Amino acid sequence: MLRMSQEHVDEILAHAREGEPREVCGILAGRQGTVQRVWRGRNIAPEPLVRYELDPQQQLDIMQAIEAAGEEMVGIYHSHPRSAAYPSRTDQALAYYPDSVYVIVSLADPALPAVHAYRLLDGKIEREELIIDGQDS
Amino acid sequence: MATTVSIGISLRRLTGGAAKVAAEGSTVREALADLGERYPLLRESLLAPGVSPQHVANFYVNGEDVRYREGLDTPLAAGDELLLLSVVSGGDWAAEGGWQRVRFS
Repeated sequence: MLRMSQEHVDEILAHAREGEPREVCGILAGRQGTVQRVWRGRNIAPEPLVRYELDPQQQLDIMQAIEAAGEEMVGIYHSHPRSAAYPSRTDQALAYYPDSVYVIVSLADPALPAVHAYRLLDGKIEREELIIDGQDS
Repeated sequence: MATTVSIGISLRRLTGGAAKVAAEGSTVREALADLGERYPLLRESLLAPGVSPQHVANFYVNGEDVRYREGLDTPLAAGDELLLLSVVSGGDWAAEGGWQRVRFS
């Protein structure tokens, strides 16, 4: 389970839209499965339209800041500008953080963006419950 | 010359759970090869034929990513600390010929 506020979801969506048509990525920091801060990342992948790779130097800076704040990296997010909010084979192959929830934002339907969460472990995809606080129902 | 190598939590399965290990070598590449001699899982993950270590992990010497220095040939001096963290990366279905239905586990 990953719990986020609507403001955090809006922040991820805003990042994804600002980055279009490129993929964007970032880190979700918090405690015990609850997101407390969204860290926007720089995507330095050579093919940013279809790949993401968080700037390594920024990755270290973010992780050190998270540790200094007494928080954990509870999630990693990235966008799929043109496809569904479902882990690609590349996402699965490069999922090196089994303790983190992978959040994927799809902008395939610009009017109806989708946000879903997954655990990626040993080639298996498990849907993770995503609870959004403050969401209008 | 031994260098202290800090292993990010997501890579510790490659070093039998160790958070810090010592490695011999005058460059990052040599230190990595030394670790590969002692940790088979690390060798398989980072040093297998056809594998680019930097596609799997980021390497930092004293907190600086080696790709902004001399890559894996970045020299190591006495007292340097080498840090390994898994990369944060992935991709879109668009790079793989489009969306395909995949069964949930």
